Amino acid sequence: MLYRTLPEFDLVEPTTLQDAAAALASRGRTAIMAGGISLLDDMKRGGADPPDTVVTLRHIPGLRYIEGDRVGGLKIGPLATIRDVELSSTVRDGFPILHQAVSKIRSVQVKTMGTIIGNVCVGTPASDVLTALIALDARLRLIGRNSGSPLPAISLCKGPKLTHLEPTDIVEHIEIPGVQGPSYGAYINLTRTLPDIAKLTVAVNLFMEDGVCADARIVVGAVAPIIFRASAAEDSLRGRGLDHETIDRAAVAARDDPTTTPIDDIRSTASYRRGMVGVLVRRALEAAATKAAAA
Amino acid sequence: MLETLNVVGARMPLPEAYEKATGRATYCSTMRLPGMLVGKVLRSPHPHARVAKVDYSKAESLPGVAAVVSGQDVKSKVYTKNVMTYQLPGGEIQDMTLFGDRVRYKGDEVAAVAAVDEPTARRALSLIEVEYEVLPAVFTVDDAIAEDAPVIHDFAPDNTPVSAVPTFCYGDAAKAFEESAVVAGGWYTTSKQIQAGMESAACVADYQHGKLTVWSQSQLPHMAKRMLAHVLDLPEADVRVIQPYAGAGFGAGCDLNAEPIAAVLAMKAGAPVQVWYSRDEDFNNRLTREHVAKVHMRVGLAADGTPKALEAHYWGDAGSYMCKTASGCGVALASNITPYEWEAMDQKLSATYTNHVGGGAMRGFGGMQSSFVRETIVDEAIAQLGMDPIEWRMKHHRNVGGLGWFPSARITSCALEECLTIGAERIGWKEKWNKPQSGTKRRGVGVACMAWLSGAQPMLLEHSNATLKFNADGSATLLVSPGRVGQGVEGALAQIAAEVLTIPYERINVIAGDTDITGFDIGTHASRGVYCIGKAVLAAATEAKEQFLQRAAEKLGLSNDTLVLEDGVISSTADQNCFVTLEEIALGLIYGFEHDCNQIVAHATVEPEDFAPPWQAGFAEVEVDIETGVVEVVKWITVHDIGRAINPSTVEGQLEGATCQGMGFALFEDPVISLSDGYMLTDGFDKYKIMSSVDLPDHEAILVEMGDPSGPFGAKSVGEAGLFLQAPAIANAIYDAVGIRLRDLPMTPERVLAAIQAKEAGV
Repeated sequence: MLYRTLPEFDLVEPTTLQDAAAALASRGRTAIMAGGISLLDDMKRGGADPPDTVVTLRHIPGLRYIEGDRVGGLKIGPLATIRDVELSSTVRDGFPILHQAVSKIRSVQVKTMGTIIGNVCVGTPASDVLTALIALDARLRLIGRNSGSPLPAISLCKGPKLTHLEPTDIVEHIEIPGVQGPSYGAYINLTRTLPDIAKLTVAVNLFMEDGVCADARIVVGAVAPIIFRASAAEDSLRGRGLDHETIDRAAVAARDDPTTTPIDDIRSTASYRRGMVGVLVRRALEAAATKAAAA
Repeated sequence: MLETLNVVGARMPLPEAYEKATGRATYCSTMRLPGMLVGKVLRSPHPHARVAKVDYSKAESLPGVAAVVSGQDVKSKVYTKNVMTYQLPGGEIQDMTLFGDRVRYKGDEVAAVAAVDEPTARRALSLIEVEYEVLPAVFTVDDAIAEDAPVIHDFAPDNTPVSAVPTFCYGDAAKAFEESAVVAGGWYTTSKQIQAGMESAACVADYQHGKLTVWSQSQLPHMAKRMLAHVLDLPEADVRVIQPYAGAGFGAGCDLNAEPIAAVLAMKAGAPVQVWYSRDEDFNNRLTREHVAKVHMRVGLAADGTPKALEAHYWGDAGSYMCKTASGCGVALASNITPYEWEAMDQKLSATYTNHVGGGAMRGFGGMQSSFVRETIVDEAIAQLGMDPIEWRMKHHRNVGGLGWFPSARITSCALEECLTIGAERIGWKEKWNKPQSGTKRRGVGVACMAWLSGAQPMLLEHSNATLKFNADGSATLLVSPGRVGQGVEGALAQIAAEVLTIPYERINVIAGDTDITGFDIGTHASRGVYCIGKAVLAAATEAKEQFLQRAAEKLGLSNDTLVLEDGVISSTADQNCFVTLEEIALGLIYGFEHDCNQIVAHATVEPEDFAPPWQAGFAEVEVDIETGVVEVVKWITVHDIGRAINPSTVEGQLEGATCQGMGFALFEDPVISLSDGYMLTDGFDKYKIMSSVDLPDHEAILVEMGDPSGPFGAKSVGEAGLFLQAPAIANAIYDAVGIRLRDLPMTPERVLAAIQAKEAGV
């Protein structure tokens, strides 16, 4: 009764994606709901402009899926929960970076209710899921938009909790491209307590050819308004073997990247976060290098 | 070894367990009375201001609003939410005025409304017009003691009404320091931890026929009654405090929240009013842990390790109102007395006002801060002498007959050496302590000790009443008045009574939490429940037993001393076939037609003389990541000198729950207070993190039961005891692992890493 309560709103429960899209387009301030973890919380907190219509996807059949494999690529449907992804052997075996990232989310309640796509669409710069997905070059397929070219996960956000998505957009699925050659990755984060939001997230994904790093993705979250790729660090790895000096140089480059602009907040300090970018990137690269060496 | 008993020592389910587990238990927040209104508080948006004018006429005329109250509706009585003030002659500092003309933190109470529902109440709040004259504000002790700092309370022009007051001093400390071979010490800071109960502050008040009834989470219902009578200017006889189950405790119920406001709303509205804080309101306005903000301490040891002197100055950050800050510092200083045989002690305390929410009480009141500072400094001094910290503690702790916390108190029992021996063995001290470490992740072990109390007698009034009334079927109702904060004391008290009367535990029906029904009791604080109330229950049960024996003697035509009570049957020691059951006696005394009806009612009031310190050793094994500063607790062991565990499951539960709170205090719990307006930025469980089950490391709680001669069946306390030693033992283990001494709590990775880097840089 005196807990935070939801403001009044209309709930629309379409049974097809087309109806959902139509509902979103035809009403006033609309919001889309999958798991509702972030949406309901925001609404209870009484944000400045709460939606008057909530369109839930939960009654649309066939949206809860995880399909594909490492070589052919992965598709994650709008109602696939974080827990589904954590328990998926396809993800665990074929996309271990994503598996590691979702395993770091320690609230079973959040994982069970929350969806992967919902988590990504919130656009928080501390998202474990989005950090991993960027390292996997994931893309978002939007209904009725960019039919030819899905939106790269790296281009989703423009600021903390600000995305390029329109209120009328529905993500039909997230796709992760298949990988032919060998790749090795790792995901690491730092939190105050295990179920807390991360104070720093790091994912790396290295593509190896003949013992040399052909391409690299080094993704860092919670130290800038958006999750970003440390491009100078990535550049420093290309064409090189994964020796300690190379890894150290890449880690320093990530730490000193001009995009690395952490802040002081209730979870940590700017200086600690900056220092930890170097440590975590190095550790993630070392973990990937160890896997590469063992292969 | 203690003798084996029947009910005492058994792992009994708590009487309230079924009610709570099935959702039938009633709390202040779940109570619904016919016609009950929703009360909401209008709070100051400014950290410091004069309230020039409050006009609530528009709010009052809003349909659905039953009452609006502000300063003009209440008598201007100076009071404090620290209800313990009202047991002391002279009391502690009273510095609050209900809806006064000055607000001293962002959230201070300005007015309140009672309405038919929450949206209406909120709308009504927005219609109240308040004119403020904003005043400058300060948010830290250092700023508050600066020369040009704004004055927060006029009676304390330097903002420090308690200034370097000598407390619990003896001996010649200066001389003892001169004679010391090593001296260690420095400045320390500790956090203003939040009690973090599941239920946010809630209360209900109803005023009918000239009598006020308040349903409160108070752990001290009789003291709450006295305080409410004072602030509302009512005769005590017209105030009744009922405590349903409380979904929050850990000391948060030692001070009142919105009870006086709910009461004045109910009195004006003529209907019951419920005030229930939202979570962020709770974080920002419920009194926090007593905030011993800064501590300066030094200890000196002789070359052979003999404890020479302990000198300390504790500085409390009172926030906007004193409440329990000065007494928290005082208890903190008192708790330094018992553990070790100092030749001299020189301690003093100060408390300074600032413009944020005040400090109340939290489990481990004062002892948390002292055990962290004292046990880490002692560890530092011992290390300088090259001694083993366990051996030093074995040798230099005080013992039976030694000085207690308070001038006339003496130690009645001590099993610290057993605790240390058991814990050292379990943690693998010999194999793990003081072993050189290398690599990125380094391990260490640490130990810390403490002696707490079982009630704050003889310093405070700690007497208890217990009444046993026997029904015609031989079962009994036990009337007692602890705070009902989920600690399990009611079950333990039933076990004590059942043991004496040799009847099943289930046949003792405990009635608690109503000041009109129960005899006087301070309630639940200072780890007093089982010891202090238990002594009263033991005395009442013994008196009841005597009454039964007397009746049996009359019935059987034998003398008392030839009778024995076993399993609810009184029989002749000479002839087993000559017997009568308690049930037969109880029945006859209520429904007998022998013209001697006289229900067995036994009452006892007990004022304990001893403080029966429980001793404890805590052991931590940690792994410190020297690149991230992350401290992983690999293993935690509490070895607790309980005297006798009345219910071992409850005792272990208390220790394990406390381990969570102690680790939070040690490692991450830290309310972040804005330095621009004093508001608590960590105003929800998404921001203020407490330990969850997935965070809890491997841990054990081990009980040592050697009995205390003054305790009921040898029992001492456990209520607060489990959370003192995590911070110091973990700090000492971090030193063992990486050689740094941490002086600020919590020991976050940010601070640990900074200390490691400073050490590497040779700072």
